[in-house]
Amino acid sequence: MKSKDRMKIVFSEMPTQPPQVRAKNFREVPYGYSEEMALQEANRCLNCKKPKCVEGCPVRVPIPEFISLIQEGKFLEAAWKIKERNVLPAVCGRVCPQESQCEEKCVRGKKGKPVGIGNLERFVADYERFSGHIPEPMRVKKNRKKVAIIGSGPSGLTTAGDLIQQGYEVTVYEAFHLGGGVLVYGIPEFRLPKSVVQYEIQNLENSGVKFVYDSVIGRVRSIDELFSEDGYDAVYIGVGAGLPVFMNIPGENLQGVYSANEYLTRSNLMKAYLYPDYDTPLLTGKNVVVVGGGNVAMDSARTALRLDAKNVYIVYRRSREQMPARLEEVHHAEEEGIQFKLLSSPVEIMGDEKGRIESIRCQRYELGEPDKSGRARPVPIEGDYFELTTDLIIIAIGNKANPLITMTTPDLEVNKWGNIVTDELGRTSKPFVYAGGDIVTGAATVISAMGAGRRSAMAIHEDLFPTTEEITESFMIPKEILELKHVAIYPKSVYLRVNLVNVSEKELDQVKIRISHVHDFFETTMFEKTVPQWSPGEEHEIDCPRIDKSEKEYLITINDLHGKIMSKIIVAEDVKK
Amino acid sequence: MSKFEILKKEEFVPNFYKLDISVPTIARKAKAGQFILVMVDERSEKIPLTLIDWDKEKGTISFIVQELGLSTSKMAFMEEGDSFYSIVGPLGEPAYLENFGTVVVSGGCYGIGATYPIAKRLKELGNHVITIIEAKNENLLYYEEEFKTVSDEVILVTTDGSKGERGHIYDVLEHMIESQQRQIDHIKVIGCNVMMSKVSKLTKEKGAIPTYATVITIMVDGTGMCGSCRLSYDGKTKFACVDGPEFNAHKIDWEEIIHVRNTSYISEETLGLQNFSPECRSLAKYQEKSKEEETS
Repeated sequence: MKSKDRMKIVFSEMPTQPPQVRAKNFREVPYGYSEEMALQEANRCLNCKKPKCVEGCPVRVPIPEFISLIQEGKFLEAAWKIKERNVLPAVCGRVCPQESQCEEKCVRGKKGKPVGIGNLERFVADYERFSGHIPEPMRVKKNRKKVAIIGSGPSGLTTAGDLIQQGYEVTVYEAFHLGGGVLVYGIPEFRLPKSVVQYEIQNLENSGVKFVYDSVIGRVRSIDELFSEDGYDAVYIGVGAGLPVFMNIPGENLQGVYSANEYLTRSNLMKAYLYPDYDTPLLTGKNVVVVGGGNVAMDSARTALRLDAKNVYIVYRRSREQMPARLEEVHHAEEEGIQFKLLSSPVEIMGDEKGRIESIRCQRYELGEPDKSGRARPVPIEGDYFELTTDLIIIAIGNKANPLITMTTPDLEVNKWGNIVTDELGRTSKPFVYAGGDIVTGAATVISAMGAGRRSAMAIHEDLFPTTEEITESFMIPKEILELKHVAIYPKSVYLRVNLVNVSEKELDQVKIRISHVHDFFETTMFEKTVPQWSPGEEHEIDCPRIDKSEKEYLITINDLHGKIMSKIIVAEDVKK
Repeated sequence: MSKFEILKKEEFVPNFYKLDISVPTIARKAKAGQFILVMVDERSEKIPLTLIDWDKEKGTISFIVQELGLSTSKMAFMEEGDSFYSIVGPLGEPAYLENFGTVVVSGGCYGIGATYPIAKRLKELGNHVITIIEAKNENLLYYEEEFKTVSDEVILVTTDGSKGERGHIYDVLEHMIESQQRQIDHIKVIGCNVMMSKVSKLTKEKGAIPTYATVITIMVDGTGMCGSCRLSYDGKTKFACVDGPEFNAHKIDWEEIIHVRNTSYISEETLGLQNFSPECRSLAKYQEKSKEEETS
């Protein structure tokens, strides 16, 4: 198909439950694409030579490659292609803020709608799940190193997935009785069905990851004990933010005021929305006020609506454009009838003599000079107040760092907000202890937590198996086996001639050569070639049409039959001559 | 032995059960004053229960359950050999324990059991331990013999005077303080919030004797994540699950705890009990009434 024809295809709108119907149930809002819709949407992708979308993705999903596979009708292969970079595609297809990541960069977005990358990711991940074609877990030779992961949220699951594939013995400790972290306690069923999360955890279990539930690390075991008593070689902390921020206004401890964490945990994890079939109760309200403008605020408001509220208000200090929530969530909330009280902030909560809330007083704001972050600062308007009658208030203004682990690990450096200090790869001040996700950055997104998990997995591997002569494991081959003979750069391609040295014939039985770009520690595969038989000393010519010659450096990786990395060489600008 | 299995169950006074459970990980780390969060089955609520004993070697923990709400009623129906769905712990900070001199350790109702490990540890630390335990009547008093082994004196109190002194813990304390027979250096109190608040008021007025109360609130996760257990302490918001459960009683805003925080779900709890079994319906009515009485 020619680009001109692709340009003519119109965007496949995601079919959803009608707002008035879904506002009364907890079933998922979008139905997902049909095969026809997925094909149509995939065909809108121009397969750009320089795929900008990939740059927008924190874990560098090979977007054009997986969309090409959809175009060919290879849905399962498309799902597996994503899984090379992202262990949770069914989750990310649903909860990633695509509009500020991959889809924002899509060239088709310059004129009209960008390609529905998130919708397509969701489609292939669901297709794989329902097909029952679960790929056999990779058989990996164990490397005899043990890693403990604290927290089974998105970053912990990603770290676990990456490390198990490299032969580590991986154990995930979770404080709750179910795995998934924020994916199960925070995000409601109508946005992310819990069966999706359960499926992903099951896959990780199948590939050998051990999950230990009901374990609060910091209490039942300290980090030091994980090393000294349980014999772990490294520990990854991915415990999330997990300490709710309150407003510190009068009346905040009255009955009927919840933190969003409590409200959502009761509803999602403890299944209070199915009360009394489940035992955990949840206060319901006729007039519900949610304070905040992020995804958590939207989730709380829409949960309240589904639990029979008449009026649900979102009170947010800034303007609509400044709301941090995902665009789709704000849109869905609005469609369902959530009422927005923008540029307003609560000042007092009033209650009756029994201690139950009755109303909330808010002050109106206007936008003033931009603050440090560049956003216009909201300024209170003196004397301009309004009151809302309410019987349920949910505070969703963010989370601070939970101190449980840092409190019990004094040698772990934290900043003034209590977040763990790390380097770019998640290394903390304590040797062989790594951290990532909200406990490091403060509240952020699922996908950025996954990115952090991946970087830490790389750091753990680098630190436990430093690439020097000290490597004792027999399957590890020193990296000096690749000899670069010639490099030529043409306008549309890069030509390389390479030679393999110092390896036995047996080891070269079917090797895979991969050439990638490296950005912020993420590799984007640009070229891949399998060579059935490569004799030592034999030169090979590799013509890489998709290489971007503006890149400063690129990575050549040689994998053996089992995907085990045999050699890595970074080719920098100065050798390209 | 399966995970979280009940090894022993004993109803030692009506509606009060002592359960011994196999949880080696918790038994290994538990300290006096800490608690656990328990789910009976996968549909249950998570409820906090104070540990009353543990055995590192056998890998067992013990707690006392008063059949009162839905979860505790479910527990009352469990048998030896049954298993809990989830037990998380040990949670909370251990109690503040050192050699204070003379210590009064007081517990009422379900707090009697929770007082035991604290008295035991205080005795080990060399304190002169005076234990006061209170119940409505003689039939509901328990652990008298156990307390004798870890206390220098044990004083029993019943509301109706059917055993020991007549009245409440604070009546006994008031008498002790006013008679000046012995200087009291430190007081521990565990029980219902109304009783603890009265003890706190008394000891604050009578020479500000250091008094520490254990506040077990409604909780969900026990890790400080939800804020359900928040209370006002010395003008600041504290979380009972991570900052407590033991606090300096004189700094706690008792009014707020009694009238606001802990009465949030009375109607829901009653409905839950009615759904659970017909036998529980009468209990539900009784409970609703007694909670109303407590708060009024």
